[in-house]
Amino acid sequence: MARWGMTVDLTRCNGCAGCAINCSQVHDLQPGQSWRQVADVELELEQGVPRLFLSMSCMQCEEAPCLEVCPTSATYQRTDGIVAIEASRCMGCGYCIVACPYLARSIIPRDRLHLAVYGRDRQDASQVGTCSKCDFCLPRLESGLARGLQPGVDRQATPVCVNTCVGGALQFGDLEDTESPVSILLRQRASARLNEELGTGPAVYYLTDQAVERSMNGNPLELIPPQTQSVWGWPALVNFSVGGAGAGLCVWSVLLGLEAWWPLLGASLILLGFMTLTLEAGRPLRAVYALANLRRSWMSREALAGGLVVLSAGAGFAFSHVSWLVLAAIAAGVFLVCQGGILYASRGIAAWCVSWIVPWFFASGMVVGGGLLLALRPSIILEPGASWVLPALIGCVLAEGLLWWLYTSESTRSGTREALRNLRKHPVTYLSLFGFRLIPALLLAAVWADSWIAVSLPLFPAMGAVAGAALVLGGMVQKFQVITTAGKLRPITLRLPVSRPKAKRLRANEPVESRAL
Amino acid sequence: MIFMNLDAQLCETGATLHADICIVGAGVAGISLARELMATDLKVCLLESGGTATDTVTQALCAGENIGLPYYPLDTARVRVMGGSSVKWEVPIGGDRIGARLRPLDPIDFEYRDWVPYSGWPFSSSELNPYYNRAQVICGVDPVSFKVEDWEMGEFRPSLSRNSEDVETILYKFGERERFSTEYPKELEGSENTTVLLNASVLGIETSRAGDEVERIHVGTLSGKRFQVKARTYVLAAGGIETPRLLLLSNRQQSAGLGNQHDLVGRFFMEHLHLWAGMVVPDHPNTFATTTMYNDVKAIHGVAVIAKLALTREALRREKLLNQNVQLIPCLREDPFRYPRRKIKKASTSRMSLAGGVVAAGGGGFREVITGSRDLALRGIRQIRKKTFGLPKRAVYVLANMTEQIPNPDSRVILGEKLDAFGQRRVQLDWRITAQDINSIRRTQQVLGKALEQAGLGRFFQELLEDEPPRKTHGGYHHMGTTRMHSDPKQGVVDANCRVHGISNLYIAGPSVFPTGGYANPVLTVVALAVRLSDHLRRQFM
Repeated sequence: MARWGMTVDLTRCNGCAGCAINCSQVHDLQPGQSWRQVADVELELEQGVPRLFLSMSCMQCEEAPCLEVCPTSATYQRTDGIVAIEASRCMGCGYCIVACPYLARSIIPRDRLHLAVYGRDRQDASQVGTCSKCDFCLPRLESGLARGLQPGVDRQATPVCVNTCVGGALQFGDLEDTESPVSILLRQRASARLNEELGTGPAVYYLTDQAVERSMNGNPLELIPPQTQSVWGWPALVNFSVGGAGAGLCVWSVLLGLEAWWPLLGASLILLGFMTLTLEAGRPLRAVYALANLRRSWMSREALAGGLVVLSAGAGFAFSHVSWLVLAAIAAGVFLVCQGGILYASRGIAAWCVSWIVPWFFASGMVVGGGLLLALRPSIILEPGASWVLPALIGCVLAEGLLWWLYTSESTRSGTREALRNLRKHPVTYLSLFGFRLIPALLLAAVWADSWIAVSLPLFPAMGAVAGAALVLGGMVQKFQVITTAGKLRPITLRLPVSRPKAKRLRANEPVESRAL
Repeated sequence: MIFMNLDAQLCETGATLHADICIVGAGVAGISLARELMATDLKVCLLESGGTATDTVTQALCAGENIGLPYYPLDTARVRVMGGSSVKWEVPIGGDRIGARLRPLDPIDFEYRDWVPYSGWPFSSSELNPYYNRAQVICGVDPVSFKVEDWEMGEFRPSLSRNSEDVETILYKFGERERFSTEYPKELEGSENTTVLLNASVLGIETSRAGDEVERIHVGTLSGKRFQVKARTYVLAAGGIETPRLLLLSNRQQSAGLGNQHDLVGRFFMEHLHLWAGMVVPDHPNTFATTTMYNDVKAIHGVAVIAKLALTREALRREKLLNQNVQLIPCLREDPFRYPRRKIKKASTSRMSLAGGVVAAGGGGFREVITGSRDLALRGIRQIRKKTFGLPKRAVYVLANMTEQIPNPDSRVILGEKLDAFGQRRVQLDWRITAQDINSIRRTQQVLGKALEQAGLGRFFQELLEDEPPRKTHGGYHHMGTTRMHSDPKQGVVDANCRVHGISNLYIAGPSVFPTGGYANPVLTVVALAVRLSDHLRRQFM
């Protein structure tokens, strides 16, 4: 079976951007939507090569992060390695965009200009709002193969960008065919792949030579600096914060054995979060496919857990049977973990892709849910049988604080430290530190300590309510920080040492003939 | 005799190659000239600094510094490769083709205009017309007519200039880049009398002791080879920056550089000012259906074309304006009449200070505080709305200007102190824009806006308000004027035949010879001048 790949010769590209222009023209892309981009990298060098250009598109990764996260399974990988999108299944949630470390994906906006100017849409209506990206000109490739042509050699079967490149910088072919143009180049030349340390296994190789390597001077080339993600805006934030608070509330109220409408309230907050997401998703009706990728996508799992919370809390309310409520509480706990998992699997964003974010998300949900309960029903602290609430909540706040510290000081992975520095040092973080932990913790401790001495003072519930509100507010601010301030797309870098033809080794577990390199 | 493409790195150091005509630079000008000479018996040697494909090391040779207005990094503004900078043509023209805009200069561009200093070509447009026709065939955009009526078809009609005396519709054609980047290089490779030397960078031009004749040129390769080419005639076709650089670098016999006895080489650098500013907000949503001609590239008679607007010759004379055109580009924008950005800011800041003042004065103007705070609140709501959803946008025409600059001796290319890989001095580009350039754009927009309003297109909104150079002004990689043409050696570097004054066998092809730039993209004029030069050289050798 073929494994289609591309080589980009860094010593040849002159930055004419013909590849990107023609790609947009041929595929009729909208403004703001680009499948291919050409980065201009200045090297500030007196002698030698002062500048490199880098043509980038979807890398058709072997271990594609987008594939893993897609909840609807609209993104799929063909046996020839090409990652493609089945547009009729895509709901435009944008998860793959934050998961992609190569800025390769974008949602197809409705072409409002064309509508306004010509009164008609250029686009296939079923594709508006779905995600799109480069697929190595799959229709061309397939029709070419059907006619017996050789992609990479015959123009009719080769991607448009490669045909357009007059500099000869782009080459295409089968990486597993040792005689294909790309395999020959990879045998002869030193090469590197973008963001290789992520282990995504891109099928696009960048060819260098000694002049380029000298110019790089041993430093990694930062080709595109980090930029704030713009895919997930306030609806996602509502889902993460309000939905998280609802789940926490659900867990607390079941643990406390409150009336059945408390878990139902929590479940409705989760539902509210889901409803808000429909404002952001390009094709919200296709959420019916959202459970299709339970095996790998945290978003599918979140949808399942959230749905279970809503159903079982509803059933618990209707049939007043405790087992439904217990199920709802368990599902709500799982829901919190899934929310953390969603961010953890977003490999395009360095600050999210940290394992501590999952327990922190769980703890944060519990704290905010507890705060919400306290704010809505401050008298809970005085109720018989609920005396453990305050110490438990204080414990949660402390645990959350510890997990936050562990999360924000994670620095083992490259790029993470830089991405989290902003989060740690941001003034709003300090504000939420007071709002989320110190003030509520002090208030709660005061209420708790005093409840041993004089139970009946009327101010205590009020103080509890203030502490609860502070927990909720602080938690929301914190999540806002994580999603927006820290939500920076990973920079795209090319690192040395590049793999050299001589030093190239086969992977131990692979048969020699299966790899062209 | 050699009949093929040669890699100069195979030449031996110290060798001397002989030819009748040596052309420096295989870009649009050099290739056009060499192709025209293919049918003759003349031995042509075409020297190209790059190879058949670009490479970063060779490309680094044309790096330089921008010391004037912000401009493209110079190593991105030209390409050293067979086909030259045509590989950078980048307008999508339908299908999977990319190309460049083509149009001849207008008759008025060749004339002396008293409001444009240094204006006037040594000949009139009728001299170039036959060559323009041949150039169009070379660029593959024939039939040769540029009259709008000849290209009307269906909805493709000049609707906006029908009743106007000031505004006319003009036509642009698009040439494919593959002609110069792929097809013609192949033709030259198969030609019997042409030798293309690749990877051959010209390091200097050596003249006789008297300085009136070029004796040989020195060529080097990055791999370290050095040799010479001796020819009867030499043509520099290295573009508007590298051609003056070569002349200035060749200062062994004449310290100021070749052709520079009157300090003109490198001066008068001109670009076409590209600028998106101002818009027309249509009154009726169906207006766009009537302006198809101006909105999109269309294929008519097998040629990609689009229409733009320009002022008529009479209007230019009356208003004393620089020649320029305007493309109407449908865009989504916030309606400038409903959401006047600047005014909101000014009003609310003044209201805010007013409100503060009123409070300080003891609440004398309570009403102002109320209205002021209402305004602030509205502004706040609008800000939130803008941040979350964006302000509603509507389809408008944005005016994309493209204009000539007045020839300005202070806008120039000079040699800097930094050296390239050959140890040659790199260039510094001091690009300048004058107040006259900007005012001319503003006034043209006003005249045009009025005409469009009269044509019933909609309301014109002018954005260019200040005298200062507007931000986002950029060039179009059109490097003109640096070896300008004039019959008087004191006012020009080359004569009407593109021969360098005072040197009997050195010619220049390319946009550097333009005394004024017009608004038309230079390619077609460059090809026409190259064809004209080929005729001249043929006559010389007969």
